Amino acid sequence: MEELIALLKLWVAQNPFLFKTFPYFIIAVGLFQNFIYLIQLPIAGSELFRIKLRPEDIQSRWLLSSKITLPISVLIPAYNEEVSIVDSILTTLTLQYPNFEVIVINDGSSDETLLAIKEAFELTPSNRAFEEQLSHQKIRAVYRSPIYSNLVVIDKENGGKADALNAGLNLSRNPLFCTLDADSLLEPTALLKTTQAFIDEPEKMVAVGGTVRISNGCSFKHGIVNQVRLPKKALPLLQVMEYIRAFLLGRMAWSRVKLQMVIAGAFAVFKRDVVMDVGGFTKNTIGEDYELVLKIHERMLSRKEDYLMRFVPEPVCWTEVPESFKVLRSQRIRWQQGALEGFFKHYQMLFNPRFGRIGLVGFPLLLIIDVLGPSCEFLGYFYFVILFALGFIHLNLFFLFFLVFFAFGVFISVCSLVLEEASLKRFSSPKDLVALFLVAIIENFGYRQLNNFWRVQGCYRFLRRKSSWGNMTRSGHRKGGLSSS
Amino acid sequence: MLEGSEIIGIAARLTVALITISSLVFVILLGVRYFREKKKKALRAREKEIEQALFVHLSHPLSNLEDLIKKTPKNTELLAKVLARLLPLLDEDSQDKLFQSFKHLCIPQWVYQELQADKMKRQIAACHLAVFFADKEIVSQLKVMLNDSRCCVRYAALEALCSIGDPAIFKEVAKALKKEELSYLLVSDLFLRFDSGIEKELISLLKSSKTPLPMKCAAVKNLGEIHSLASKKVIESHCKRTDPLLRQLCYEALYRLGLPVDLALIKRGQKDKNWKVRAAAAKCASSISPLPIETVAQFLEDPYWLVSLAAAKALYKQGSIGRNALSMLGQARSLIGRRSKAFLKELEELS
Repeated sequence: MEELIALLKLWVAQNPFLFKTFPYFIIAVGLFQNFIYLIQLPIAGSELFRIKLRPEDIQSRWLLSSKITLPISVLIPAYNEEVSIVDSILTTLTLQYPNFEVIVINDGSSDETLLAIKEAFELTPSNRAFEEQLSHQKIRAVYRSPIYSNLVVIDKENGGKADALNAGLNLSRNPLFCTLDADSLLEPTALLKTTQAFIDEPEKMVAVGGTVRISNGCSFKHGIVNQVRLPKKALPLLQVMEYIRAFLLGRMAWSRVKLQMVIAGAFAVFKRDVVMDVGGFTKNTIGEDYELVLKIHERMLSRKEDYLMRFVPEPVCWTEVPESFKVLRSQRIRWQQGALEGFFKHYQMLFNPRFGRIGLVGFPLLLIIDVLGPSCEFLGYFYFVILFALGFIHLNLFFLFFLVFFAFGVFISVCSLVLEEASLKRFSSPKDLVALFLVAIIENFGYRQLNNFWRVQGCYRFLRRKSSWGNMTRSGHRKGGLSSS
Repeated sequence: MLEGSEIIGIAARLTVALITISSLVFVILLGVRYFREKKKKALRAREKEIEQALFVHLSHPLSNLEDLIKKTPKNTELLAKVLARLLPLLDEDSQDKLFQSFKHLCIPQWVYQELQADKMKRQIAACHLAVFFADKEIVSQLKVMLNDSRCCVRYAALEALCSIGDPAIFKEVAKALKKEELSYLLVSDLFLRFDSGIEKELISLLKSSKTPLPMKCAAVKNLGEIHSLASKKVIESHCKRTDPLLRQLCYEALYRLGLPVDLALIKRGQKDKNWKVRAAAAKCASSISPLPIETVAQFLEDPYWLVSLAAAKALYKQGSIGRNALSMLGQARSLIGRRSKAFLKELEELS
């Protein structure tokens, strides 16, 4: 062992680059990542200010009775969701929107998902006509509900989320469609607020994403979030801060500068024609939503078509997040795999002037944030410890690495909280804000590193090409849910 | 070049600065939250007070609304909010009663003053109120606001003027709209607020070569919505335009009018590259009497099945003639037959 350490010391000593330049490179990548967040702050702030000028509630009210709202299909893919599916459907059916249908796709669940829907909505077989424009696994049956005329349920063989969404797309006929996770709940006016973007720009707008927020800990009444509370458990609480940062900072800023690279599949509205044109959701991918957005960018830019994608902060979709390390780990690994899959599938856009701002700015940012970022940070933790143990770097540099990441992390999180207060104001109690401030500090010690570790595992998995739908144990939005009330 | 120790020094200072700024920002955030909550509570109480007073006033006209309203002028947004929430819940008599009382309390004059306020939010709220108290002065002030440099104010004034719905204002609204970059759906929504009083103006807008495309599209859509039979010829002439959206809206408007459409025009629509235009033309074809069965059959074998579905739906809506035709077409062993059969099954299930 001692010999090995001596050899390592010798090797490092012979390559001064390893201890003189490379540590600064790692810090530089981290700083650059944080510099991007700093740029996002004023951009997101200005976008929020612009959106706030609109008298939202009055607009939503007239839209309800207006003849200009575009018909929309809400696609809910479900795989083993027997606990939460009925509540989710009921909440979706009560959305305030003049012309919409709900298409639930049971993707060959092995539990009682279909039975739960059949019983709750008294489903009967339907003759709904469709043609298979997008390929997918065999549809066993299509059902309708005599209680809710705008509910359609598809029972198909298992093929994954993308496959289920493609089946739903084939059966949908409305110009717009919305993807919604089976465990997510939409706010009553969410569709009205999202489709406003399509009314403003009916020709150019191709996709709109909304904010996804964490429902763990919140109280529900009639399937609607009654009071926003912070989760009591530590793990979901740490994720609250992450979600605020991701949606109100990242998505908002990129939306402003037309660099929307990610739209969360948990709640997104797309133009049906455009998605059909790019071949629907790509099967056997993990991040099918992410990949779809990149696919749309590629198609539109290569055809030199004028188009828009937007993020709107106001419509909120509530989702349950993992409460155990095991489930969170598998979710984060999947996300990272999905991000890498999307990136490498469309890498030809990277630094390619043919793809304009997406190729020259959007994709390089993905490279830094999603591809290099996690590995660099994770590598950094070990690298600095090893160099310090071998005596090649000073203790100051070792701490500097952690301090820089920590200070920026806290700063960015606090600024995200300010954005949240300026726009959504969802946290009713100042106590919650104090708790989130503490979370912003605490998450830098352990949680952040763990997250990075999982992302690196995701990179490894991506290289080994392992994939699955992923299972999540749900408690369901049962307390105060529609089915229980 | 900076030495390693210098870089560390800079970074350490940066760290301290960032943490200090973060803490300061957070303390300010809490302070703002405290005052905002206080203000919100007071506003909510005031809103309830106004709402209650309005209800009391409706059942007891002698109750003193004046005192309450006098306290409100500084808060246009509040009254606009309360009225916007309350008025749709009231029947016409109660609304009239309320408006008479408001007029007696000189609210229209106050709205007029608020339209000239220095703050944009107050101006916009006053625009919402202006719809209820529109008099000559208010309308002329709204027209002035159409030239405001801020787009939010211009749009609020446009909305108010259209909601007032006086056809005499339309020309000025149309003139202002030509300068705006609004989508055809938004323009259509504004036009719809005038009801059918602007038929002639819409036709002349469509005829004019100076009308921007979104306005033309909106005009066509609205002519269909208001069943303007007089516009048939001009709409037909626009079916040949280069913009696919305009063509699609023209065919859809023709379908809504319910008048027989020239078969040559439908055949032209059938060959359109855009499936939405074809679907709209299919609807027109299915509603012609006597039914051009050959053309309808061609629509039923369109490469894009939603075009066929549009034809089948329109056919089914025709009543027994259409249903029989669909059932007859369903006997064919080709794609037409398969599609007709499937669509008929679905349509029967839905009916």
